[in-house]
Amino acid sequence: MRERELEEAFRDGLATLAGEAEVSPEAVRRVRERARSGVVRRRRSGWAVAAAAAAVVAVGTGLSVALSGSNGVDQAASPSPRASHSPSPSDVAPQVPGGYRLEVWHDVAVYVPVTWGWGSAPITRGGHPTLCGGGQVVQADGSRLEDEGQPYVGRPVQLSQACDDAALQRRPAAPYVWLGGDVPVGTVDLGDGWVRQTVEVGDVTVSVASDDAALRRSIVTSAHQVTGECDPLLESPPAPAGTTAPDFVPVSMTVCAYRATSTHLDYDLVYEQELSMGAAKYLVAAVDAAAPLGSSSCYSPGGGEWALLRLRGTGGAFRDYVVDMSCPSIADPTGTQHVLDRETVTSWAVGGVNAVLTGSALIETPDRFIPPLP
Amino acid sequence: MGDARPATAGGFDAWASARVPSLLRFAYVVTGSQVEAEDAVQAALERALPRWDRISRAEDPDAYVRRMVVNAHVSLWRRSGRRESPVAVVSLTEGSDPAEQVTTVDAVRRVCAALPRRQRAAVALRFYEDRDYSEIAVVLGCSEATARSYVHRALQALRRELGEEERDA
Repeated sequence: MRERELEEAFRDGLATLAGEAEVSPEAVRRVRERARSGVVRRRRSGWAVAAAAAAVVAVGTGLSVALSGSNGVDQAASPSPRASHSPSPSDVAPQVPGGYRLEVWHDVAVYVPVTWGWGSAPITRGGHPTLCGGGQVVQADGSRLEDEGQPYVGRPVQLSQACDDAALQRRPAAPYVWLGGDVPVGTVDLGDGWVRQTVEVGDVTVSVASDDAALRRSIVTSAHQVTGECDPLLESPPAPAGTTAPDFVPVSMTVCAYRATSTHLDYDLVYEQELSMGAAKYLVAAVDAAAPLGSSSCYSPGGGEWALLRLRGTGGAFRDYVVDMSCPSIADPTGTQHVLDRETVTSWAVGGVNAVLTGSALIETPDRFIPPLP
Repeated sequence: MGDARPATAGGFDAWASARVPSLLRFAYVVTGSQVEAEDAVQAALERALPRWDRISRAEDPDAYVRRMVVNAHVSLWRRSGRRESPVAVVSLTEGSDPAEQVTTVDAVRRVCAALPRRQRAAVALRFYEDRDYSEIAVVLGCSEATARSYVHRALQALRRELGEEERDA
């Protein structure tokens, strides 16, 4: 059967399906009334419900000049006096099961070796896939590196204006995983024993390139859809929520990083990470000690990148902080925004998140706040 | 889809009265289920209502809300954790060759039911809405190449499905 006939078959079949829909006046009324009264049968996760319960902190106008200029940035970036709680580097390191870590993109996750860094995956430009910023890697210790010999897990983000179409067919200097790359499903022989295998999990491609068949197989087979701690899709920016009790003691922290979709109607999960009690305690102390920004901190923030930091305590207690990357700030559950500086960033942005969230073009967050871990 | 301008001039209720039937049909094609279609349209309208001043001034409010329907469906499905796609009851329809038409419609139904949600949405946008690939890419938040890939794979699946039916006949 020719392609055109198949297309016609789809057109005819879908038209028939559409005719099966109930569009009676009763059905129309039902839909309209439910929409009017907000009685859509929600199947939200507990997270989303909790987040929706609190209002997003409004960011007004006025201080954009200060933030985009040296004064504001310097002020935000300068170290501020800290509380006595000061974690060791191991406190803020990601929790690692068995030498592997979980990497999430949208609702797909894979396990990769814990020493691998983070980088880019192919995107489509000019009608064909290309790799922008290949070789630029954030290492597992949080530092940046331009070294094609560093294994990494990449996501379809543009780390550089320099794009390389040939990178998709070239034998790499180190193994990599691409999550959500614009790469066709199948196996590509990259030469000298190197193979890239691409599978699809749900709607997300997972590509693994290595000259080690066992490693490739173990990563590919670890790819799975997740219904994890982070909501994979938000309809609106996250909002701070949860307990404001001064005696709240967190036992863990989950980082959920989101970026606006191209339609700007939703926010997709781009990164998820579980962190330890030490990191969570450090964040609480850092935010408590950070200066409040006030109500007018940004002029028209538009980056559309957010990090939701959920701290869990005992007995079901939780506290959410929300980081706005385009208007650098971290909001606590009372709605107060605080400055982003080294102290309020380090505990949650170690490792991969700074390869995923870029902040606004004018304000280089969180990179500028993240020191390499010793 | 028709011209949305006259309906938007009467406000949200007038627009909704005129457009909900076609939105439900579109959502049914995208979801394959009356319940899910109503959920998706409800969610889209609920989101559209507070933004109606802005949406009604858009060049194509219908397209905007259809995009919301697709997103709402994918979003609701992701949140629900469901991974199965319900298949609607097969209904016979008249045509020039009823037997052949039913076979083709059944094949389309089975192929759509087996597709991942975003791929199915791509098929609906391409072959029910007659959207081009750049528009599909915007709606689904993917690249144009990915949108083409979704549709191409669906066509291959339909080819296999129809091929199997021909062999079985």
